[in-house]
Amino acid sequence: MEEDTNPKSRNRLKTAGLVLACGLVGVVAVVLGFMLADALIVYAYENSGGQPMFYVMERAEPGESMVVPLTERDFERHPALDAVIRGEERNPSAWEWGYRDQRVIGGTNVSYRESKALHDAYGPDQYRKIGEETRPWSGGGGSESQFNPNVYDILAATVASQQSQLSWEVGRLAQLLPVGPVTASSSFLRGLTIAGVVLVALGIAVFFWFYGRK
Amino acid sequence: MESKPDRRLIIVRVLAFIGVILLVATVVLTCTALFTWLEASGGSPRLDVWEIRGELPPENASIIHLTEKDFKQHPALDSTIRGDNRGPGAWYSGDTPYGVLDERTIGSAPVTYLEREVLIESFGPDVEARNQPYIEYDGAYYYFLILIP
Repeated sequence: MEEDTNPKSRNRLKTAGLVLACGLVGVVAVVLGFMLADALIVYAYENSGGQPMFYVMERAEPGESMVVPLTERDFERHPALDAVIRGEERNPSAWEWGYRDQRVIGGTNVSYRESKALHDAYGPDQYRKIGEETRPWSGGGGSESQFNPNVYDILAATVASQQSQLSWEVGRLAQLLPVGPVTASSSFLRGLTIAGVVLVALGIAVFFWFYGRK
Repeated sequence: MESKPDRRLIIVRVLAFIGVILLVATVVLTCTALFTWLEASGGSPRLDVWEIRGELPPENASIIHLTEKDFKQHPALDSTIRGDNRGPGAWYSGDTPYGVLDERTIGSAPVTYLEREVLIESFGPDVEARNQPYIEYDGAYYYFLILIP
């Protein structure tokens, strides 16, 4: 009897290892699938014959938006931004047209990759910055570090969850979990995740079927 | 004898891996195409340009002289005034932002909501004062409206 248990426990460990390996391989396959889709979408847009137009607007006041000071490094990384703000594509309109609190500085064609990079770097953000001290356009009581979540209070599913989310500390990024109605994009992602898990499970089942036949 | 089933198993595993990648990519591409189609089927704003004539412009009128840079940065305006979407109609006496004048349609082109905002901020009208500038190019005067679907 003792001689039988050792091979059995070894088989169980082997099976567990194989299941874990299959799961990891499945996750890698799903991630690669997303990357392939992203690359194909960008390729399709780039070859569609059209090109995005990148426009820069100047505002009289920053309003409630976060202020991102541009540096020489930003201009080096994004030549389109440089060309429009201070280069050959600068073509400012008059303040008196439109809504008077903003004007067009200029525009230029960019590739889809560049438009994505510009949007990711300087795109709209609905939050006002919270720093260490209170300023005219930003709140205080936080820190100037990158770990500051820019949140004073958050609605959470439970009290414990809320306390956990708000008890951030420098050195560890806060994890914020907003609650609310399920949007199309979040339900789509959830659906994809479920599909991914089902596919991984199917893969494991197929593996065991072949393994059992052997 | 055992090497054949082993090889077959490895091939199946590799094919399954590739199959999952292709399946996920197909699902994402299909959903992207569907959302894009749904968005486009709602219609987009339309830029309509008119040319006006008569004793123009009055002394204190605001005039914007279009340049090559303006046409380069506003391709919809370029295609309507002097490009593929130019299609001048017949002259008639109509109600323009400057009063009753002789006018004719010059052309029309679809624009995005962002282009609409940029055109209004660049070439008017002044939303508060409801003042519309004269847009001049090559000796002719124009005005435009952007209709939202």
